[in-house]
This record gives sequence, structure tokens and C-alpha cells, in this order.
Amino acid sequence: MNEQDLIQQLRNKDEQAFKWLVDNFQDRVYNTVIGIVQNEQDAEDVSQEVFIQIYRSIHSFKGESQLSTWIYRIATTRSFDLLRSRKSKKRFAFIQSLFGKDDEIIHDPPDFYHPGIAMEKKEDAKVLAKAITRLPENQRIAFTLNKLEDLSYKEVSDIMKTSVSAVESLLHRAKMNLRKELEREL
Amino acid sequence: MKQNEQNRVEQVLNAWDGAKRAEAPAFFYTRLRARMDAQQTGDETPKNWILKPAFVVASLVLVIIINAFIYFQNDNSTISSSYDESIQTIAAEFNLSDNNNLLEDINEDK
Repeated sequence: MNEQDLIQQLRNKDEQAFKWLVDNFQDRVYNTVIGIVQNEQDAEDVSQEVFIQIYRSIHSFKGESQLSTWIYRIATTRSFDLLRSRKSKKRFAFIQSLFGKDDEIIHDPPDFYHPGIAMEKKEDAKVLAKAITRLPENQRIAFTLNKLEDLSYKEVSDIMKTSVSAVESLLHRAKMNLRKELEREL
Repeated sequence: MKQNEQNRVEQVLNAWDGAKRAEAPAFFYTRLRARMDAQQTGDETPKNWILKPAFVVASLVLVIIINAFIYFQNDNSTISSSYDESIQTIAAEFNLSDNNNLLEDINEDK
């Protein structure tokens, strides 16, 4: 299906076009989101929210980039929205516990095993995933899109609305920071 | 020894290389449609926005501002009323409390 036709049909709220979009993008969205939120249930929730946002705001897509670029951008933004709300909930729960109201305990997330990682690499991938959570947001996005979605620097730069050299720099810094974290961890 | 540690770090750093794409759970589209339909009919549970930290903090700040405003308002009126009281006390002590009497006294002296 031609991308322009697809966008037009989505704007017309065409059910078949929307199903086609979901069928073709659900794994890409889910894989990106799970790499960031590192939890299967949250990843499904956020992926659903991504498609709901696409369905509702397709009229605001101006076509300045590819549709896939726009979708990846929504996926990363939504994922970090969830992480931010988790963080503030945790902070709020801490304040509540100071005042003795701690009936809902928010636990730290359990170890994350990415479903696409080979068995022999699972333990290493778990350690890496934990270290990645300590990276700054933009380094984390660049690293996740490049490693998990296997996107080129150009594609990552389009998604992040930055230059290719900026993505190279982000990835370089991400690796340096991860090395430091891993040296401490191992 | 140091070389082994560095190799180990590099090994972990590359652990995501060659990862297969994670697949969305089965019946993803069906569940997505169900959620969208529920939202359209308003079945989805309303968001507990009143407990959102941003709202709570904003409310607390507002309460503190109102309290501070009321406190300083009262404080100013207390100062001005105590100021009036002390003027009256001084006036009484020097027999200046009644301006008419004072004028009469001055006229009599003439």
C-alpha cells in the first residue's frame, strides 16, 4: 500500500487501513517500547497507547518525515512518559510513607530479560539492561533504536530530530557511560 | 587480569547485538480495539487525577500562599491598631486626647 494512500485512509478512519498499520508496525513498536520500559505488561499497554495516539492524531502528521519515523517518535515519547510517571509515583509514595500512609508499596522493577535475546546471552543482556536504565534519556533512545531495532544512524537522527553526527556522539557517550557502569557492576 | 575484565565488559556491552525483534503479544489488535471501544463508550476507569503529585503539590502551594497572605494581612492590621492605641495612650498622658479642650485651654490662656 502506498504511504500517502494509507495516511489518507487513516485520516478517513478506515478500519482496514488501521488494521494493516497495526499488523505491520506492532512488532516494531512493541520491540522499541519493551527496550525502554523493560517490562512486558507495560510494553503492551504503552504500545496500545501509541496506536491509539496514531489513530487520533493522524491528521496532525504533516508528512515531513516517513510515517515509520513519526511512529517511532511517538513510541519513544510514550515510553519515557510512562517512566516519568513511575518515577513521580515512586517519589509520591515515599512522601506518603513519611506520613504513615504506605498501604501501596511500589517495588523496584524485577530483572528484565528481552524476549529476543539468545539464551546464552540472557544473563549478560540482563546486566546490560540494568546499566542502560542509568543512561540519560537521549543516549538511551539512540542506543535502544540502534541496537534493538537495528536502525541506521540516519534513521535514528530522523526520529530524534537531530544530525547524524549528534547521534554518533550520543552513541559514543552512551557506550562510555555503559562501560563505566559495567566496570562498577562486574 | 585487567585485560580479562575489559573483555568481560565488552562482552556484556555487546549482549544486545543480534537480538531478534520482540513480538507483540498474541491478539494485540483485538485487545487494542477493545480498549479503543471501551474508551469511546467511556467504560475505562476515570483517571485518579486528584492524586497526581503535580496536582497535590500545586494545591499545597496554593494553600500555603493563601495562608501567608491572610497571616500578613492580619499582621498589618494588628500593627496599625497597636500603633493607634499607643498614640491614644500618649495623647491621654499629655492631656491631648481631646483637641477641643486643648484649643479651649489655649484660648483661655490668651
